[in-house]
Amino acid sequence: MNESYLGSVLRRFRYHKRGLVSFWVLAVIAALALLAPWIAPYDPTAITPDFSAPPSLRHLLGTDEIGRDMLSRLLYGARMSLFVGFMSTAIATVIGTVLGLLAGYFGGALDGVLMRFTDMVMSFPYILLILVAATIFQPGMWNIILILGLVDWPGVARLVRGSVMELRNADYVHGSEIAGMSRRYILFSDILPNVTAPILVFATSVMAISILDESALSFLGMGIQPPTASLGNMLNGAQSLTILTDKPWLWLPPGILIITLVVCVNFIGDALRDAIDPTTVR
Amino acid sequence: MSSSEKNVLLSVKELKKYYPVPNPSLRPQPKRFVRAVDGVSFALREGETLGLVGESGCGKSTVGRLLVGIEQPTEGTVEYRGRSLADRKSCERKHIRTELQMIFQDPYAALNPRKHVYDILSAPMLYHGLADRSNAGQKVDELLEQVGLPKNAKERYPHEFSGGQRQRIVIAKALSLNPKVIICDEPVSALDNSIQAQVLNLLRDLQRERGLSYLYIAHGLGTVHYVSHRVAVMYLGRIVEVADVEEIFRRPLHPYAQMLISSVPVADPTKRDRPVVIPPGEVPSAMDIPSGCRFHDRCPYADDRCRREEPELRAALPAQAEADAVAAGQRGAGERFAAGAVLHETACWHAEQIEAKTMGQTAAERSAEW
Repeated sequence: MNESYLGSVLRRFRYHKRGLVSFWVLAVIAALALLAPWIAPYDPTAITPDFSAPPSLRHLLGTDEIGRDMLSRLLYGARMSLFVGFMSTAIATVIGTVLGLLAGYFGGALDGVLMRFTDMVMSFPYILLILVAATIFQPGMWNIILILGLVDWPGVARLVRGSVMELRNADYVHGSEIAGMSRRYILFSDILPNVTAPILVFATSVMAISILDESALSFLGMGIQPPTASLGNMLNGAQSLTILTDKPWLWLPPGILIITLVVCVNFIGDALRDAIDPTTVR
Repeated sequence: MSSSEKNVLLSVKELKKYYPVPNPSLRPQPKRFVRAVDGVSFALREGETLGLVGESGCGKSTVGRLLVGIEQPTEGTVEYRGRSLADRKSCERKHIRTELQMIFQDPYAALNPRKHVYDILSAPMLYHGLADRSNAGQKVDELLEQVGLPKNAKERYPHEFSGGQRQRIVIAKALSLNPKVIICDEPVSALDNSIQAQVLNLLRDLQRERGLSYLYIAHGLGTVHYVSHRVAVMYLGRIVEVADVEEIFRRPLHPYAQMLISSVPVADPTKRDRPVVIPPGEVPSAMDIPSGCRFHDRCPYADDRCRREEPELRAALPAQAEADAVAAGQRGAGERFAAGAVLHETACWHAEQIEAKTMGQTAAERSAEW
């Protein structure tokens, strides 16, 4: 019976089949991606004598137009996409959580200013902003991460603000105020632990979107620059009709991998939401 | 009177809390206010329980929240030991505010669900230097023992306890800072009847051991009668009657107090036909409080003066029977009344006349019910 809150969430998560399967699929992909330097059969940038070779025993997923091994590039690309997705989500979550906490707890003028700023960031045409930013700054991994992180936080901020405003009037928060506890204690010990769950759920969808955005940017040539592999720039070749029709091994695997990653991350988010709030039966 | 004024802990004067009503239309309108608390004055003495009763929405909970500083009053002062609580800086520095604690109605919402009971109880003591890392565990054990919970409770989470047990934890949390005054905002109305008695007894025991003062806010008159020394009746943001507990249940003077007390069901089948007066109509909106006496539109005795002039709380005259006793030279209740030992204040222009007119239920009968 001595079960912590997190323990009970994990227990319920384990009964969520779709979430559990997604979790393991994602775990396997992440493990393979992490281990890429050791398990990739070729150097992802090394050019082999086979150009545009279909899948064979020598190159399990074939080679691209300049003779690089597709399987190796896929592993490194997944590594890149996951890393970019994770890091930009982390940045967006930290920014959004801090701003949301401040706006929700202090309210008043600070809330007004922060929320109007949030609305402003939200109302920018997103992909255009990223494109402009990517052209002004040098396209590169860290710039992509920063740009995505600085664009994705408004949703988090709104969510956190809403939850904090609700908790601000919870009796136990009042109790801490009456007990004369410091603001720091109330914010970080009373309020923040009670909003981590919704933040976590929201972060999964931010991560899915970040992975998609990174792919889109790289596909458009503004993201990760070749020869470094990313799932997006591997799809770059699919802009040509001959490749689309004649060489499916060049675009099918990275495309499927992107979809799999995004779907898995979203399903995990759904499962977490259900596990956190057992009253929502779907 | 002088001796009772000396040990007044908490003195509330003309407390008001107005909430602005947002204007939903684009057309500018004169600003309107919900007058939740509209001029409340009372004193709470050392070791005393003052019951604050009234219907839902009469502002009694808001009074409690104003006292502990969750809400800031629009007007009026709260003095604790002669020091204004509005002077936040000096009060916080001297840890004066922590001598006022609160017990909430809903024990499910009053405890942080993510924390062990140990953390809930020890954090305030550690923060205020009432305990350090080495003796916090022992202090938590003592608190748990005082509220009748086992020592192993501290390793558990709030959701593992029943409502009554949680309320005990809430009480322990309030006690952890050695308060002098505890505001009890309907502390038992969320609990089962059998548990209510246990928690009320715990509150009484703690009062005896620690000399606590309670402001006991409730709408259930039964529990108020059980724990209170004095009772204040609130109606639409104002106190309309204050008296010692036996006095007010035996002899409610204000028509609203009479109706409130007569509406309590009595567990006695022979009293089934006793007169129960229910005020006609609805409680007016706190946005639109009637002129004059705020009860006049529901009061069967209202006259022109009630519609024009708002009555203030004033000392009531002793009951006719007691006055007769005094006149006849008998030593008794009437004399105690005259000497100020029995306190009874009411905010009604005609309280005594009404009492003389409606002697349907004698004082003796009424007190027998309680």
